[in-house]
Order: sequence, then C-alpha cells, then structure tokens
Amino acid sequence: MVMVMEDKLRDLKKCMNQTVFKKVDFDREYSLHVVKQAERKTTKRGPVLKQRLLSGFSVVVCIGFILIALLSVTGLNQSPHPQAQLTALKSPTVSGILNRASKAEDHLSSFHEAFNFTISAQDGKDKFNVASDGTLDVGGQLPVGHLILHSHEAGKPTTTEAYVTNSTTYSRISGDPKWTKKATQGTIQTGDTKSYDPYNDLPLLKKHLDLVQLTKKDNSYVLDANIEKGNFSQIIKDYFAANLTQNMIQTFDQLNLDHLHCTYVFDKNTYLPESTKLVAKGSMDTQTGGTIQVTISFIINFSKINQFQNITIPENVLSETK
Amino acid sequence: MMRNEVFKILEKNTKHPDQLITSLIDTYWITIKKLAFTYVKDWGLAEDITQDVFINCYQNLGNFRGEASYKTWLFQIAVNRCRDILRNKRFKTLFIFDDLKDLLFKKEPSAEHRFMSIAEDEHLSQTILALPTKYREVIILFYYEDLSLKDMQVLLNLNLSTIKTRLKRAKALLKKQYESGDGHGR
Repeated sequence: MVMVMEDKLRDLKKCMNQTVFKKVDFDREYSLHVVKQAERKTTKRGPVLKQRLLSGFSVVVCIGFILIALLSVTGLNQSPHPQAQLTALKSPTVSGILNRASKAEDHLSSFHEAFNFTISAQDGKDKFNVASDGTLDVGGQLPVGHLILHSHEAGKPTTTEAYVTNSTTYSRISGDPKWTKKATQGTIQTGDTKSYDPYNDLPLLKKHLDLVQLTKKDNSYVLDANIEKGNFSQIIKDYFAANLTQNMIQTFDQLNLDHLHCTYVFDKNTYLPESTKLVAKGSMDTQTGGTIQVTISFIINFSKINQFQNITIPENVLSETK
Repeated sequence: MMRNEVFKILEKNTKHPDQLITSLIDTYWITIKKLAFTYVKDWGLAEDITQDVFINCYQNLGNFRGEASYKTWLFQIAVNRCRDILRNKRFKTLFIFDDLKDLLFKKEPSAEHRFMSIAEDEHLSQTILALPTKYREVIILFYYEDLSLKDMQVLLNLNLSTIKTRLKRAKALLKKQYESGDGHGR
C-alpha cells in the first residue's frame, strides 16, 4: 500500500490539476494593475462593502455601525485617492466583478450615504412600521463619520446626530441640545468576531455564486442574490450579529428569517458601490403564542465618492463633552 | 523546462522592473495562487495573498541579489505570508466559522456527483488538503511543485533531516487517512 501511495503522489500534479485546481482563474489585466499601483501606499482595509450595507440595521439609535464604515476609509492620507480606472471586463462574471469590487475599496477615502431602513410587522390585521432614514458622511484623517438619523417610531419622530471615530462617539438627540460622549461600542480589533470582518462579506457571495445573478444597467453592474430559508437563517443571524448591539442580537434570535434578497449595484468603470438594497422576510413568535410576519428593508445610495472631505468634529462638540 | 530556459533569457534581457514584474506575474501568478490555496483553502484569500506576494516582490526587485531563482524567492514570500495568516487568531476564528457555513450550506449531492466525489483523485486531493499544515506543505512542495529537498530546506528554513522526517510522517498520515476515507484531519 505504501508503494501504491507513492505512485499516487508521483501523479499528484495531474490529480490536483484535475480536481482542486481545475478552475483557477487569473485576471491578468487587473492583477498587473493592482501590483503596479502598489507603490501608492494604502492601508488595506479589505472589502467593506457589505458592512456599509448593514450600517442601517438599527431600530433605535445604534451608531456603532459607523465603525464599519470608517474601516473603508484610508484615513491617514487626506489627499483624494486616484480612482482605479480599470477597463471594463470583456466577459464580466459575478466572480470577476466581486474581486474587483473588493479591491476597489482600497481607493475609497470618503463618501456620502443616504440610507433608509424600515421594519414592517403584521399580526393578523394589525400592522405597524418602524422607519429610519438619514445620511452618513465619512472622511477625514481619523477618519470621522458624521451621522444624521431620523427615526419614526410609534408616531414619535426623533433625530439623532453623531460624530463617530474608532474610539469615541459624540451624539445628541432631538429635544436635548446637549452633546454627550461615550466610548464607541464594538471593536475593530482583529480577533474579535463581533467586529466586522471583511471576509464575511463579498467572499460569502463568492462562495455561493450560483445564488447571484448579474445584469448590466447603463454604466452599472447589478448583482442580485436571493437566499431562501433553511440553512441560511443561522448565517444571516451570525452575519448581522457582527454589526448589532446586544439588544438587537437578542431580537434577531427570535426572528425566523425565510428569505433574503440582496441587490448590489457597482459602477462599471471604478467598481465602487452605487447602491445596495437588502430585503429580509421572516416571522417572530409572540409571547402570547401567535406569530408576526416581519419584513426588514434596508436601502443605501452612495454618492460623492472621494469628492471630499475633511470631516472634523466641531469645536463646540469637543468642548461640551470635555 | 523549456519555460524556465525562456524565462532565464528574458531575465537577462529585461532590465526595466515593469517588464520584469509583468514576466513574473505571467509566469508564476497561478502557481503562487495554487500554493497559497493549499495553505489557506480559500480562493478569495489565496488571491489576496498572491497579490501581496507580487507587490512585495515588485517593491523589492532592486534588493534581489539573484542568489536563488525568482521562483524560489516568490515561493519564500508566499510561504511566509501564508504562515503569518495561519497564525493570525482572526483567521482561526474564521476557519471555524467557514466550516460552519460549509456545513450549513451542504446540499444533498446528486447520484452522479456522489460518484465523482468519491473518485480517487478527488479523495486524494481532499485528504492532502486536510493534513496538518506542516505535513501538507512538504507534500505539496515536494510532489506537486517538484522542489528538491535542498530547495525546501531554504524555503522552509528547516534542516534536511527535519524535512525528510516530515515527509515520511506526512506520507504515513496520508496513507492512514486516505484508507480510512477520513478527510477531516487537522
């Protein structure tokens, strides 16, 4: 048997080339571009697309998610980064686009997000909605995220404004003009699985390319993924859990997700994100033994990419919170 | 062999770093990517590692003294990078999470797929990939990459007897796991 094994090992190249290495891909043009651009020093943050996509998943004021957005910005260099001008893929594939989108994040230094987040629930004939919308600007040296969040809950609208850095969050809520300061929740330390991890992001899609459909629209690539119930529920919860507070995690524990539809739109030339839409549907068991049908929708539109900006925390905010 | 000879001629006549790095990428990108995959078992991560390797190479082309071949040099960078990543705690956490995801995503294979999946080549490949890193790398470098023991000595920074011992133990473990059909050894 030892001899047989030795014979098998002598043919290992053929064996592995026909199996594991059968579909190794090589995007020559892009690879050359990335390597030759390497002289420009960027702090690699990894693909952060989906973290921004989830940044609005918060019913109440939850501004820890801005940490995620800050990860996408190479804050040490205030000069705008020249955007990667990659020629269009001759035969665009989902995997090719995801690879380029992942790397395009390295060219991101600032951006503006307009987001909208809603939870709709129906319990028999009773319906209720909770909605939030707002804007998030990220840029500057630290970097700094500036969030304005409007929540519409139970007929009581509130507006929260916050400046967030990796270490400190300054915030105030409508009705109280005073700024407060606290340590930013969550951590971006490596090794902490609660923090956003870029490898949970686009590689998740890359692993399940059969779920992703590609279409072209004007100057954009649109990737659609439909994920049905079953084994995916735990994945969704684990994924979201990296970006939520403890309260939200407990809420999600009670949510049985049935379906998730994700749409990612990328610029065809720069592979930077244009918009993202996530719609999750599921149900929750109530304490009275009933079931509520829940729909969660989250939409982000990106703009002003690398067009600004030196976001700083205003002096009055710093002085009020000393 | 022919390719190596052509490449040597190219090296001699190629002075501009841009041309040289292009040649190196054309020649070794896929090789390095496959090597990286055998360490981290994730194509996305292998792609990232490959980029890191060639960026490192490009930035240090001026320092390369030619004591080893370009291939050995690239392999050294790649092996060191892979080992750094495997040591990273975050990666280890991810590895467990990836296993969970794979388990949860497992679909019932078709009859044809079941037949293919137990085909010998696939079984051998997967068994090798499931070996502990220190055994897997010597098997891959010796049997897949056709490196000599001497090259492996330089690449892995191990003495010759250690490499021989690891190869011997790797083959014994591989035989045991291959026969038992167990592809989950770590």
